[in-house]
Amino acid sequence: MNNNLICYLRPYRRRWGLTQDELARLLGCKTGAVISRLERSSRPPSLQAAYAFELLFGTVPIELFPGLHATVKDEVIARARDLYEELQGDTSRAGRIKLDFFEEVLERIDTTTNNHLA
Amino acid sequence: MNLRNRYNMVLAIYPNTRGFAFVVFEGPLAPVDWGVKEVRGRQKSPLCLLRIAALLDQYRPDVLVLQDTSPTGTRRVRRLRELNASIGEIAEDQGVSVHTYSRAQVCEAFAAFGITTKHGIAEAIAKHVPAFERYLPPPRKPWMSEDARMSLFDAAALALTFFQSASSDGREAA
Repeated sequence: MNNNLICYLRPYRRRWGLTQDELARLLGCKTGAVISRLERSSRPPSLQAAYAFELLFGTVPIELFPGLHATVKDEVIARARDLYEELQGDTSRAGRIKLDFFEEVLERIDTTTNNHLA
Repeated sequence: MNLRNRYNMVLAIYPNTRGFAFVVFEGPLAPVDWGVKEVRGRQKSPLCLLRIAALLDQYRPDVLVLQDTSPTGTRRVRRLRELNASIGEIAEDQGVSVHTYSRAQVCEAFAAFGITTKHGIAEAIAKHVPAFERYLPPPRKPWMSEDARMSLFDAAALALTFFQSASSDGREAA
């Protein structure tokens, strides 16, 4: 079973007794419908909202939206691997620099994710 | 709540005459969701079951903690005994492990900390889980009926009893 919730916004909001409308107001939105959509993970948060939540709850977006982070990570890794494969055999200087970059990126993603989950 | 300290999801449900209370924990001091659901009308139990099934679908817990209403457990009215049994059946159908504790077992778990009363248990929970602090009802006088919010602490007490017994089982196994 998937033990991790996709979004931890609801427990953080309720911990401080905030209503969806109040949190929406803090974000500069008119109604709590925006918060409801975020809590149900039916819509991803905007960058502005992610920064606002970090300021309000003192929690980084990866802690609040682990599901979104996992999705983005999987997609980026898949695309990086595709491009890495395409660049194999490219002996130009630029090609070698890009290959080094993708190797570093893939290694870094693995290390940072493992550090967060350790 | 921290990515580093995520445990299995534990859902505790405490049905009462007015509906039911539930608490979802992801570790002893990390509540994820909680609430007191009031259900009115003649179809109380089926409506309660519908809402509980929705909760099980939403959180997909690994463990469901209920009150032990068997003949050797806590004595409750027939409707609640049947409702408790039905909740357990739904959870088992979904592959969720079901644990039950009687009122006496819950009191025993908290007695280790010198707490013996129901209100004392609620106060201890509110102190250790700040999210529940604002739900703590005032002490009940003999002429007052029980506050609806108390069922939330009953559900939380069941979950914390599960965590305590799980940790003591782990210690014994080690």
